Amino acid sequence: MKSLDRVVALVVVAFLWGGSLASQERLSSPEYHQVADALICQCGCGLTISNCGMENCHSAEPIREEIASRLLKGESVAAVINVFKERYGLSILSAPPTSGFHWMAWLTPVFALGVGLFVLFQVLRSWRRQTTLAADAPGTPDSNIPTVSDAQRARIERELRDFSN
Amino acid sequence: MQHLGNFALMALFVFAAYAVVASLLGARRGNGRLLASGERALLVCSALSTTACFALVYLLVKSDFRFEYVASYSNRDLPFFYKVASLWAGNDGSLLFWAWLLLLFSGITVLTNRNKNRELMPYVVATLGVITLFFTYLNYWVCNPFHQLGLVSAQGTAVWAPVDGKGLNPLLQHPIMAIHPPILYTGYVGFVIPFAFCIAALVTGRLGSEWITSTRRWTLFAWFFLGTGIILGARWAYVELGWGGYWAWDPVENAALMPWLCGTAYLHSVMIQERKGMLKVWNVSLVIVTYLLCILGTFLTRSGVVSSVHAFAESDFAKIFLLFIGIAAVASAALVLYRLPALKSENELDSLVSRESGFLFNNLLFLVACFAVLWGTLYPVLSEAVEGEKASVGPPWFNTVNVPVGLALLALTGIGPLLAWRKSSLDSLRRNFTWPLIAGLVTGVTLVALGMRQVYAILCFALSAFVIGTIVQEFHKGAKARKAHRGGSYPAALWDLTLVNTRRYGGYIVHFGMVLIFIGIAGSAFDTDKKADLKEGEGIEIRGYDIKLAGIGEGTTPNYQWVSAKLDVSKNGKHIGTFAPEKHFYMASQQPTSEVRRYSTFQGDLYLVFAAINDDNKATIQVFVKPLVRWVWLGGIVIFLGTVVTMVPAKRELKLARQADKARAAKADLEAGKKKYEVA
Repeated sequence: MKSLDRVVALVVVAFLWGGSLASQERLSSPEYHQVADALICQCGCGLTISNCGMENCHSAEPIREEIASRLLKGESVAAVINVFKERYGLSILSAPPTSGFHWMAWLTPVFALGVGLFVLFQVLRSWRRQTTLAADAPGTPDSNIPTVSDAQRARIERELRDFSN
Repeated sequence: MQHLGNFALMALFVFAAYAVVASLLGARRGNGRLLASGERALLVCSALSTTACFALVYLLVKSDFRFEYVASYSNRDLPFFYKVASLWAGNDGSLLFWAWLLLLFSGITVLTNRNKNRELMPYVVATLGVITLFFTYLNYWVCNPFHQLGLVSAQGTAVWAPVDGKGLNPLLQHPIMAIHPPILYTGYVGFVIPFAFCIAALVTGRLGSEWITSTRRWTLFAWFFLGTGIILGARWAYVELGWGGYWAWDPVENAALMPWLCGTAYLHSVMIQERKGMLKVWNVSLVIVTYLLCILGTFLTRSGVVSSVHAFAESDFAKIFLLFIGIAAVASAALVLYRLPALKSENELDSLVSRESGFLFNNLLFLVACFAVLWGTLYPVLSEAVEGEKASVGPPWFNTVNVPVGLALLALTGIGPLLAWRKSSLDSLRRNFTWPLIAGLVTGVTLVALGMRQVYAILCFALSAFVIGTIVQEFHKGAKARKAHRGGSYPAALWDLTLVNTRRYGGYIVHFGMVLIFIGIAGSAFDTDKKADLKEGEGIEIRGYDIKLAGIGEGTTPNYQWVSAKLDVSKNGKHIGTFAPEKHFYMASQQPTSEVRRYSTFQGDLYLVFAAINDDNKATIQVFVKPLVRWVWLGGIVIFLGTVVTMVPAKRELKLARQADKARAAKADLEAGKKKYEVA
């Protein structure tokens, strides 16, 4: 009986050792990084599972091990991420999902850029129109200032170019 | 000492209130003596704030653990330097330090404006006084650092002191961390002076370039310190936290980045107002928003609204802070609306292809980036409020949203300076853009031909080459023209050129520094890492580096115990050196830290972390290879130099100042002569 115990113990140790080696290898694979980058450590550091640097972190270490072992079993990246999402909720994801209300997280900055561009073009156009109207108005002081002809402008450009060269 | 500290805070509150009342009354009644007393009251506040800070530092250095703050952030064996640094380690002390900086800058403003900006100064003093009242209120009634520990018993409450303090957070026991908060705070607080002048300009209706000229150096000063604080924070995270990165989009990092982005937008748009009298509403709004973002950043750090590894513990003054931000925002907005007719542009836009348009696009991108950072930082709070479940917003989201905006800004860094004021002709565009564009395209194509496939990285390197091309071209053209005009050597012409227009050429140097930072950031696309459990003599290989564990050492200091892994590192068979990353265990706080070791070159860093030691005496070693990271720190240094150049008065300004001094002296002589004549 004792020898059987010893054999079982040896098998378990060999499995754990082998598993641990395989885990270490998996810790460098692109799939592992994909999952670890998609998850936020729950220790409060605010970093991804890849980046949490806390020694023996109660959150990051077991999650890393689980990611490695699940990937080793052949589970897909999406499936592994989903397992953690089911367990911890949305707070484990390092970015809001692209569904439902959370689309807003992604679209709002794009919307802000769009609105900003629209307002900017409107402002530029109105300023430009006012300038054109002011220049065209008869009797305005500017209309009395002699304008530069195309030939003169070309000469200025040429001389400037010669000067800088 | 606690009595001195509390007395100083109480007196500070009274004097600040007097400064506000005296300044406003003095301005209303045109009473010069009242105005002068208001200014002097603010100077007294500066002295009182210094006294309160000194009192707390004294208690920290003396390890007087009767005080909750001292017991919480210090311990007997803490080195003197870090005992002093404990002043800004906790919420209460850092608020006191914040108020001290505020009053130091207020005092300097009062002293340097004794003979100028007299119409603005009463309202500047009143604004600074109101902000001082807010911070002093917090420091005395809400977060008093002179609070004593008490032992409650049947007989009442007795003063009690623990044998030793909890100690300073080990992560803060690093030289960079000791100077990072004061530098960052200097940036945050420094924006109060442009804000106060802006409010004064709005109240008095003196909305010309007077307040802008008076605060130009203050704005640059605050912007520079905020940027330096951010870079130092990144450097600290890199060398101290041991995760191999320097920026994690943490809410506290974001809190500093937001006002920096907004302040950068202002530094660009203000040039249009100075040159063409345009964008007045925009500029006052940017100054106000930048300051409010500084306050918001402080709120985010201290309120516990968003969780962060850097944040102070949640405290109950969130409501007070929000109230202050709300009042400041509403009052400022009301003032802007009231003065809207006077804030009309003096000129109009001549062409869509002009420097002015370039600046406007640049402003838009800075503000979109700022908004995106704010949105990402606050989104978890919003999602919890709406959906009932907090969604995290981490680096993947921030990178996806901000990288394209950052690249567009990088492109504009090159495009903007090449556009002419008022209008750019097709010929000038062709002349200015040809060589920089060739530099950018050649870089991009070469990288693709060499096998690089990371789109953002290729774009970043190509745009960096383009921007460097524009900067080199600008310096070269200017120096060549100056040499032709004045003679002398080329380097002398280059030097002279920079001194003649320090703002312009200093700005180019700052742009160059930003490009270097972008190059460093792009390098992170090629990061790689490996982790292994090693026995003595075993090693790992990563990107041509061979790392072998030569031995494990250990030791003790009064403050902490340490264990180190001695690693022999060679690259392509050539021995580079022996590095010993350490693990520290701090006795007072019972916390471990990693002390990483780096082999740093301009090609990249080898980053060695001693992660743990196992029961079977194996060392867990994590190794990162981080290409180009050194360029980030180099970029920071170049920005530092560029900002110093922009702050140096240009030759023309010095000449004008000398002429003004001479004119003032001649006027004084004339008046003295007149008096003599009248007496005679």
